[in-house]
Amino acid sequence: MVSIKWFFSVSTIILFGSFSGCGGDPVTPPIPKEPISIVFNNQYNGSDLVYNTIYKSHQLNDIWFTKKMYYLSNVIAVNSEGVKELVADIALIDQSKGLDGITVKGNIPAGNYVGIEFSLGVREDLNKQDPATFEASHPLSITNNMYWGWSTQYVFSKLEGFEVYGTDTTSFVIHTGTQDLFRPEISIKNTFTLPTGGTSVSINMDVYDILNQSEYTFNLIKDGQSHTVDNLPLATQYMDNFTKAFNK
Amino acid sequence: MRWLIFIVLLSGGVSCSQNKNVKPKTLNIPKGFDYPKTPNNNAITFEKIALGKKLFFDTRLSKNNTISCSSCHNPALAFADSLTVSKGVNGRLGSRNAPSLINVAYKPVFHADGGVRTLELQVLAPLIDSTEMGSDFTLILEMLRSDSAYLTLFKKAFDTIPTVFGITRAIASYERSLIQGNSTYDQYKNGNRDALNASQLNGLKLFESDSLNCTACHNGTLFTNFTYQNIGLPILAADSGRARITMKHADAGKFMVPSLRNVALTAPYMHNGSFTNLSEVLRYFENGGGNHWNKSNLLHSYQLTAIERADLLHFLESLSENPITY
Repeated sequence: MVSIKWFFSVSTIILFGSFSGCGGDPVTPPIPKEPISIVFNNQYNGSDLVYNTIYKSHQLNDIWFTKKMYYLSNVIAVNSEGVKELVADIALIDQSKGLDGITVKGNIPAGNYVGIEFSLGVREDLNKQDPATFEASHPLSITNNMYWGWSTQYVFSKLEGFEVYGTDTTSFVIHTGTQDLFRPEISIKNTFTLPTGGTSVSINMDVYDILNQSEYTFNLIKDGQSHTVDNLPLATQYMDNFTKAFNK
Repeated sequence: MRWLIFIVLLSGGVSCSQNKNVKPKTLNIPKGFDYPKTPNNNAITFEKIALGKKLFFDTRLSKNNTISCSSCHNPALAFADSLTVSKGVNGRLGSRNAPSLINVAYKPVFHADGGVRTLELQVLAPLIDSTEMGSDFTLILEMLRSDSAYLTLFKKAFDTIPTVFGITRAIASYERSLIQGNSTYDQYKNGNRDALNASQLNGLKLFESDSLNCTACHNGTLFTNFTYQNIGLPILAADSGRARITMKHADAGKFMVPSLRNVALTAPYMHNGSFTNLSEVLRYFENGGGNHWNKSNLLHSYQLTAIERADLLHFLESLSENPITY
């Protein structure tokens, strides 16, 4: 009986030891983290983007959108001392799912922040994952329909809709992906304070600006089809323009 | 306290375990074949194969309940089909000829351009492709979770409700079980010297000859070295083959060398089904393939007599065997 008691005592010590670390260093209390929500608002020419609502294209044609979804990797908040705090390693912006679908949530230390950083697309290690291993609620789940089965990688961005030219209504579909089109470390200046209890900040992304930059203005009547590999120059231009479409 | 420790230790051990009630399945491997590799997270079990088979033949996995995996991978045709390119939902045409699934367990990568890394990932492609089954997994899971037979099969195989993970692992397990290697040629190779007749033997000799050079690509147990070759077929606008995956100009028009097992059952031929019978294929290679700037230098023209052509054809026919019935 004594030996059994001894066994359990030793087990207890080992068990607690395993939780408290191996070294003799003093334990530093973890920095408390507060919830942050970063809302990515889809816009068109400065107004909230509403699907199936008619806008004017750069060519002054009637245009409407049925889908605008995109992935963000490494969403980071930068504090006033330049320290980068990871908010989320991957997020899918999908306005068809309401506010939850456009909000990136995480927990970071309270304090003063001066900017948000993120990458456009799915970073390489995540792009190699098997989408069948993710729960439906995860951004990388196959149920989000953002995966190319033929090349086993994620679609980084989808833009779909219609534009009227004369008497014709033409559909456009621009799906971008492949690791070459990953666009890293986009920085947005955004000064805010994260207090105890959390806060929410907003970033606007304007589709109008994706379609019109000094380097290239899209005419979706003729530039309206790319699944990346079938029209790589167009997909590349789209992603380059995309990086300049935030918080203008 | 001691019970608490026991519970902690026990829960740690159980949480990582798989379903303990499944029966591991050992595949029947033909003489001369290696045992196929299986991924660490998808050991083959009877339960997965049973579930995978039911899913494989279920048209409800397609968008409009008309297409199953077996629509393009027909067991009677060595799990291929007889169409130039396969038809998906609403009659939509794909861009490629359906490959045989026999011995798919041995393939290192999948699709004619090698764009899919594992058999489990391959399962996803036809299910969501708009020119194939055109479905989405939210709908598929909804259907499976409302079907008591599937609830039971998933419970047995994975101890879960239907999941995408389970779908991919079960169908891959079923496909991995489709192994054949007892053709007339195999019987000859395994010691029955009377299995091949004189014509077939002469065809084998031609096939292995340096002058024809067939074995430069069609070698090994499966009669393929799994390399990508351009044999001179014209590039279709939407299908540049391996280059579609690598985006390298040097890979334009290259497709994976197909296995020749069951080749007599899998007409039409080539990635785009552009040849209707084996005689056309043999003539094509006899002429050194087509004209393409990126054509492999392994191809060159040669001249066969009518008898030699027939012998070569008879040898290729000896690589086929009776359809798998499970």
